Amino acid sequence: MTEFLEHLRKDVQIYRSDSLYLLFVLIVTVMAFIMSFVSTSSYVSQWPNLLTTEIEMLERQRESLDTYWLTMSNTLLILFVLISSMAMTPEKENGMVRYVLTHRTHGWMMYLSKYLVLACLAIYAVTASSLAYFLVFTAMDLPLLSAGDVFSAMVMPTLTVLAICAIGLMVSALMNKKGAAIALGVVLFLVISMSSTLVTSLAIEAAHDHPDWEPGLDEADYIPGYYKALIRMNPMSLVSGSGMIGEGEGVLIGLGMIAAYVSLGIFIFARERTEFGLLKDLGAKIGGRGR
Amino acid sequence: MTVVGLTKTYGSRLTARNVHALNGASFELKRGEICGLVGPNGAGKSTLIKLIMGIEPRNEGRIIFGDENIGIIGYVPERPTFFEDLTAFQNLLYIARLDEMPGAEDLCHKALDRFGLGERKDDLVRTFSKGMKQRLAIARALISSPKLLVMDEPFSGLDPTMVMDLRGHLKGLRGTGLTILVSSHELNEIDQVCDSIVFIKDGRMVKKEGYARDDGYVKLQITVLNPSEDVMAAMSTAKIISADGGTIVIELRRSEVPATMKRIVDAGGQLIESKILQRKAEEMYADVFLRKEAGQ
Repeated sequence: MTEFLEHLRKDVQIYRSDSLYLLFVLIVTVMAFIMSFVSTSSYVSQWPNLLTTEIEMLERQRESLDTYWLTMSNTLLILFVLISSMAMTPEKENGMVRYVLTHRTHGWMMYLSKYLVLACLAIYAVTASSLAYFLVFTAMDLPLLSAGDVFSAMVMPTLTVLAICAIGLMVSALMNKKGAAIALGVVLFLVISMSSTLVTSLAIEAAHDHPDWEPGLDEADYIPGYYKALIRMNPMSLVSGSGMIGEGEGVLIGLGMIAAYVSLGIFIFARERTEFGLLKDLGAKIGGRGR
Repeated sequence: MTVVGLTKTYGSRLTARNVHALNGASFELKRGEICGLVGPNGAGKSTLIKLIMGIEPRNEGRIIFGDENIGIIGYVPERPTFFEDLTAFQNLLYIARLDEMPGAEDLCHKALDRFGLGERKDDLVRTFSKGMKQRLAIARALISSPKLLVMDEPFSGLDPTMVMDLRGHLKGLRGTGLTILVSSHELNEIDQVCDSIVFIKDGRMVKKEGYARDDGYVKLQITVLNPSEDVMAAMSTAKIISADGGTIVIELRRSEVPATMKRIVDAGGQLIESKILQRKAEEMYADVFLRKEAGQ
């Protein structure tokens, strides 16, 4: 535990002294307020002209909150792909990772410490976004949504950002150059993002082709199993799952994704400790790679 | 430390493009010995160091550290790297705490003072000069009280002041019981710092040669103003190798040097200079590599 805390202390010190991260915190905070204002004002400007019931207003406020998170999540995801994919590479590039591994330490602790710092940054970003929305929304509108409603809406975006951080850090553990890691991280994000849209539309099409499906029935019940699996494997479906993933199921899937990607990252990072590296040993046995 | 048959091959058996960086390298270091690791470029020096440090896995061979647990090995890489956005003190403290050193903070303060970095301890490492980073790298390598210190090209790229500074620090480590392995192309520095040299070529140890002779004899060069019969007689217990005017080279036991010098002075010899002649690393290098190649 002490060893883990030492890595954590070091990582926090590095993040604190790097102006890039301070700038990031500032940008996220300012951006959250601007997006909240834009999102709330566009909705508020519509409703005085409409004759609406309280239930309709509540529904519109929910929709506005969902739209806000969809926009905000995409922005945060892009930012966190960039940040997480370069989290490890500078230290790998200059040889510090291998230097530290010559001391009494465990690679997985180094890795987890990095992830924890990124996770804290991600939780800050999502919480700040949520708080900004709550403040702007409360100030500008007749708030029918409670604080609990507003803040519970951040659960799925938080899990998505945490999953994307895990993927980004995994990329960082895989690559040795910062530029290459960022490029791969962005490409992966685009693939994940586009495949989510593509798979969802294909899944809906497949549901419509189902012989038992009729208009008015829930498409989610008629989607083939393999499409369901593909949708559940994609982090983007947590925020834009089109109602195909329930909240409780989504939380479980999100936590599972985070655990899976972090574990995979630790496995990849283990090759840095070449003397004891699992991947190197396997590689030497299977492919005859030199050791 | 005993290195036995260390082998390292880069490449793939599938493509059959293997590079044998180390080819059964073997040698031994005694406790407290300062040993140079010398060889042409591509001889396998850096690979050997990486294998000792566990940075690269080895194909075959063993590294044995006597009967005791060697614990941490101090390591100064060719290009010392740090967490540039942390201070010198934070960099040292991180390593000291990872190695569970008791009184880590005090140790770090002392180490920084010892290497003349006490006043810059709270400065970010990215503001340090190359020489300061080199000193910090040695301080960091020694912070965990290792029994073995491995240095890869420590003199490379340093200006003369920094070289003298580093040489002084290395000499200061002599007699502390710390075994040091220094890889370097700077043969003059090897002469001044090391007790012995391991010559390595094509991934094999070609020769290990010490500066001191195993039989305890040394060659002493004496320059006197008056090489009279009495003065020459004062050297009768030693074997005279050559005598050129007032410059005489004798061979004698190292323990007999002070008594012989006293006899020369007592005999009225006006002593100008005396020095023990040692083979230089450059001569040894030429013997091992150049003459062999010329012979071939």
